[in-house]
Amino acid sequence: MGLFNSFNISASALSAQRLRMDIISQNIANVNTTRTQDGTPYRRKTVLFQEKEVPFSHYLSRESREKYLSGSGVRVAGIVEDTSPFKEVYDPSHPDADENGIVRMPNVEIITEMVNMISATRAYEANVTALNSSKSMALKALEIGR
Amino acid sequence: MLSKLLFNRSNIEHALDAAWLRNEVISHNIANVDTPNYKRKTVQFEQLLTSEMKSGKISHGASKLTSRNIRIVEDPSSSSYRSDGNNVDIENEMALLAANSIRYNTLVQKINGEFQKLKNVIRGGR
Repeated sequence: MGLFNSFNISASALSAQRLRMDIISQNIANVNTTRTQDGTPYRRKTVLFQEKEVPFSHYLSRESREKYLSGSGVRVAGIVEDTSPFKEVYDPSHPDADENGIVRMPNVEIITEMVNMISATRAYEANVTALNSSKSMALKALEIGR
Repeated sequence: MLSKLLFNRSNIEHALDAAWLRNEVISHNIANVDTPNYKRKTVQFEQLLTSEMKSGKISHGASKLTSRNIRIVEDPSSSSYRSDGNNVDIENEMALLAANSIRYNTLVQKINGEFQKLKNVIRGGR
């Protein structure tokens, strides 16, 4: 129940949502990319969120056993690639077309990315509100005994 | 007389602790709004305070109520309505956050009032 624990919780979520936004931008930017370093078209990436666990040391101290169970925010467990099949488009004039004129395009759905982007923005805003609420409460606590 | 005043204040202190912890827990819930299989957490304090007040322990100073009695419980998974197993309702959490913030401000005002009373008595009402 530290003073800045709730700040850290909101901050962890803010950076996680920002990373999610970065990855969504990366996906949208590469919606037509047919060449990557390993020779395949671009694969859509997603961010995996995980609840940030309370550090083990807190469980060891009996004093804090109850207090610290509020958790400590969210963390990014990893950036994973979407393994769904690539889209196949008939375009014989494309330099990356195979002998049948089929081009394998990235498995990025622009609509999905847009929806996820709005979701990330809203989640970011919600966490900013939570942070502001914590801030106003902490400042209010300074007024005790004035 | 003075001890009674202090007891009254310590109840507000516990309530402040609970409100602060609840703010943390709500922040945690909002932070994990997109985490798969996360279950929202809640703080239980008011029920405890009510039962202690009903039993009359608080007015006799025999209350075992401390900030460590404040419990954090996980909401049951049955209330999940999302396909990713997460049961955080963002609107609900934002409403709780706003309500909790106001509750905290009210408690701060109340505790300031208690101090003001004490100051007033010390000054002899002048």
